[in-house]
Amino acid sequence: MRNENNPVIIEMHRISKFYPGVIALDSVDFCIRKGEIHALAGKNGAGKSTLIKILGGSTQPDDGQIMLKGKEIVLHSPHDAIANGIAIISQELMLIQELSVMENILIGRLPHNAAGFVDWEAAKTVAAEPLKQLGLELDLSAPVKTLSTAQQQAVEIAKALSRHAEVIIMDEPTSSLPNREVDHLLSTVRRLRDQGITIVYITHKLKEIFAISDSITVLRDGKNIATLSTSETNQAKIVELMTGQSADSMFEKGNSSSSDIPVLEVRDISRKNAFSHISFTLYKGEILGFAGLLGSGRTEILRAIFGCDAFDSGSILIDGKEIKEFSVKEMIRRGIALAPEDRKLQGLVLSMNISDNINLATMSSAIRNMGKEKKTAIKLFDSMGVKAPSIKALVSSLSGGNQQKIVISKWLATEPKVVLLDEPTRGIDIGAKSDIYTLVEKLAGEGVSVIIVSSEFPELLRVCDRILTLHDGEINGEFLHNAVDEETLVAYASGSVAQYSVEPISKSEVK
Amino acid sequence: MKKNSFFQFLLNKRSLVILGFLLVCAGVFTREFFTVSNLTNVMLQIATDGIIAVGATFVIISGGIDLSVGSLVALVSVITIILQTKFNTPIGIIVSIAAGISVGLLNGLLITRVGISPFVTTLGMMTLIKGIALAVSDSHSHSGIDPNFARLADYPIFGIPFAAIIFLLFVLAANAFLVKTSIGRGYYAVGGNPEASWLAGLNTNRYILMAYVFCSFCTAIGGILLTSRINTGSPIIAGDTGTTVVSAVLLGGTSMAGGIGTVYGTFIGVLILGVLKNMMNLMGIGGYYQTIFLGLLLVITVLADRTHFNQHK
Amino acid sequence: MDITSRKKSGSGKVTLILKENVPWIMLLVFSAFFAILFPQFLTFRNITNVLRNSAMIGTIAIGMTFAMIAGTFDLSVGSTMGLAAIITIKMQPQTGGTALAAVVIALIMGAMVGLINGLVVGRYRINSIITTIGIEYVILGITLVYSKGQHVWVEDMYKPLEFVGKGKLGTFPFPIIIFLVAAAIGQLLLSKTRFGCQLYATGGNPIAAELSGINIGKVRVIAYMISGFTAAVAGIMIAARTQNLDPSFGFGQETDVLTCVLLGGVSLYGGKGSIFGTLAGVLILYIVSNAMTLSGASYELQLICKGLIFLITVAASVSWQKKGK
Repeated sequence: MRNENNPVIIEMHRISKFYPGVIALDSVDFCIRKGEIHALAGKNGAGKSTLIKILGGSTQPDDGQIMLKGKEIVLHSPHDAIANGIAIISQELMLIQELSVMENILIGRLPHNAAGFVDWEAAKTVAAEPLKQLGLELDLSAPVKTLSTAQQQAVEIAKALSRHAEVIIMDEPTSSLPNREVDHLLSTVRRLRDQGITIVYITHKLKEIFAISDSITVLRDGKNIATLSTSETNQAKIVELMTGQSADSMFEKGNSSSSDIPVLEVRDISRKNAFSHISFTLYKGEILGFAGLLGSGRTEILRAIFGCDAFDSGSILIDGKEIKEFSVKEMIRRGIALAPEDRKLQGLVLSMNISDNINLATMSSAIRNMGKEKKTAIKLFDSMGVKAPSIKALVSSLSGGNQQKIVISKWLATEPKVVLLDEPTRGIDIGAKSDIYTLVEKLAGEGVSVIIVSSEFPELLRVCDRILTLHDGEINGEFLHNAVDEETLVAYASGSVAQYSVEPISKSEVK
Repeated sequence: MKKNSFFQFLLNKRSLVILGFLLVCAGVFTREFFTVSNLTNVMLQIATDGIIAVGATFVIISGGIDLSVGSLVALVSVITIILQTKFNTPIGIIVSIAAGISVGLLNGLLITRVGISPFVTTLGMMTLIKGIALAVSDSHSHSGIDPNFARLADYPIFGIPFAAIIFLLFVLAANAFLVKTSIGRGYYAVGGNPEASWLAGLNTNRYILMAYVFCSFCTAIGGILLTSRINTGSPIIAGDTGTTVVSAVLLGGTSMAGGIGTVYGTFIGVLILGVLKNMMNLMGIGGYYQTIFLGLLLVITVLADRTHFNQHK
Repeated sequence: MDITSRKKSGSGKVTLILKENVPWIMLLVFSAFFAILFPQFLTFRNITNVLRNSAMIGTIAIGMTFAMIAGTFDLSVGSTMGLAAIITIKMQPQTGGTALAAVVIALIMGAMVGLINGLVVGRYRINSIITTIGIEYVILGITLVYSKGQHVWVEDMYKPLEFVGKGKLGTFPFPIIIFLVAAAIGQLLLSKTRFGCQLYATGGNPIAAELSGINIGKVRVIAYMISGFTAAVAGIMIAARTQNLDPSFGFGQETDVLTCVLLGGVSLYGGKGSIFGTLAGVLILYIVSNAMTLSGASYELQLICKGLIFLITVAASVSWQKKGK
């Protein structure tokens, strides 16, 4: 219930933030009223996290002002934000595992006497206060590491309350929580609202937004698309606002080269706390999409197939033969390749040059065959259209899109049968994106099978023959690319399926 | 604090069990161990390394390491004796302590301001200080001339050597500081999660800097007492102090990951090493074997710490 | 970033070449400076003297470069060199057979120490400094036990072995040849073999290396074995040259080696560096200490200077890399 009479507590006015080559925020107005739960929605890269970082003082805007209760404030550092009563509960909790609940709540502010000795009695009283406010009973002296994730989150909130936070920003608070804890968190958030605390709630999950928020702001491509009262809108409308249709029309799906020869068969694999009962078959020349949000188990599934992480049960077959030995080396030998999610952290050795990176996974003889390496590198360098002075340039000097091309080149050099791409277009410009789509289609045309994991669903609709939706570690839908639209995928991936009437094609059909 | 101290108790119990086992062995395998003169001797032997270990505990809890303590002991011993000869004992002691504090400041500043890793910084300082100690002493050992100073370390107070009393005082005071004061609690926060501590307004750099200063201060005190005991200023003593101290601290349950550990644990660790060394001496196991043993112990404690650390991650 | 890398102008290339060869430029500047200060600096005799003095530590620095590129420290090389030297001397003399055995055993010992280091440090590199210091003590202790703490010497060393330490090829002392050959082999290993490439990848980004199918544990073990092996080679060279040694002489020499390697531009964090650079690093350290000797500075002063050079090098390389990010 958006109460228009509530006074505005924070007003962000024409906030802009530029990164090299990217406009993260384009003159965004964002207005929060006292005592409301304000949901911030948007796809990856829409600018949510930049906006929040600015509000939390860890990033400074290039333009615009922030008003707190009508007075302009400048936030130079996280300390300034805290001093102004703005607290951020990030996904990665800022707690000290070895210390007690009480000490975590009072970190840096333990009450002490003139000699510096802690007054534990006073500390107990002070620390108990915010927990009472949250309606929680926790052992104040228990080390934080003995608590569940949900309890740790509560301690983090208590820490914010004890610092007299008036605005609490929660970034994807339920992404690391098991389902049964989610309702509890939501009721905690409501309780805080009823006590007059203002909450900014960021999530991918539409169901939660509608369960809890009073108003919703949708960001898209760094712009504030709309701020709406929750009671006056619905999920379909928000999905539409989040996705927009403008960018998609420029993509046209090419011809499918999918066949009916199974290449990779995944049978009922599960791993505790990551994914369960994952089964699918990938055919020769097929492009299969995994539509899932952060924390849906998408990355974990790819890593399991690639042999870097083990799984608890189930089996994987390549060309009809069951794989017994799981290691990255073995999987590369069998023709599987994985271009990981984080190029810089997992994909490339930034301190090496392009040629060495491309040849890293392929060197078969102890003495390097420089001529062959050079040939491979030049061939891929040219065919991928990498923009760099030469194959001897350091990959650290390349742009994101070109770095991604190098990662993919490395795997093409191994002449794979199956290529797994984890968020292949994250953070790269539109031109490089379309290069990568073309490449994927070309590969499929040559009989290579591809799995693409992405949270940018238009991209999946653009390139994939078939799309599986993932939610909470399970496959909950399966669609042919021409039988589904982005809204449906968002609905499935965010777990709010019931709202939609489009039925997935039956699973047995492909099994 | 109930659960927390129980956990610490369990952790420390591991070292207590080892200590108990060693004491039983000492009683069984040697005749002389439980004699007054030998026990006094053990106390004297562990006191100097022990005082340094108290300081090293702070550094390791804050997430760092100090490898330069051995060289600093040598420098302190040289300064103390040379200034004692040239001027008098108090000047020697005061300048030694000042030298210790300056080394700590330099370590801390290089680590917090320049951003060099604690390992590499203190490794370099180790060489540098050793060079200074050699230069100051002209590569010679010097004997002390003040008989009162020579008696200082083993001067008995109620039958306990003065050095051991100082060690106990350091343990009690440092433990109270870490457990009971707000700054002490801050050390656990800074070592356990520097980013969260910084966000919560703790001046993490100052905490880290002060840990190195305190460690070097303890090293200076330990060095002065060692010098008194042997009544010699030598640039080549205390070569293995660094390794002994790190082993003792890790044996006592402090983790190199930072944020975990107690001074009482270190106390037990120091006792374990002291009893072991004494036992080996009594059993006629030579110094060379002890060197091998010391190295192995260091590797093992680091490996054990790693597994312990991984279990909690 | 793109713009700078696309710069193809001549001046850009020159800056690049200069940037990649900072150690060699430093070496030239220092040499010129010392040549002006000390007339005897640039004599053939003095230069061969510097080279011969640098050959032992230099050879170890070649090996340590491998460990450092893999992202790990090896601080056990000092004692390893010492033990190799003591083995070489104690197992002499008389017949060629025992001399050969001495050398072979010393070399195997060096590689074994590397193997142990590699297995202990394994995939986790956090504690390589402390664990290799521990190993340094273990090896020192073994050396002391083996030599009973006594000075060791040999009167008639097997002649071909003696040649390794004292001989000359023409006017060139043989240790220099060994050093240069080791450097050449090392550089070939780094740039022409699969292992070399995997080594850079392991140090530069272990996660990406593992995801490319590289067994980073194995790569680190081999790097340590090379480091231990070169330490043993250096030990044999010293034994052959002096034939008279104190058993603990090697202990602590690893900081000199580390200084050379860091001066040569090898990164503290792994993934960067070359033998070519290390070579310059070795020469810088030794011309500085040669210049100090020429100026009559005491051993102690030289030690202080080495410590300072070490700290300044590290501080410079750390801030350099910070800027690079």
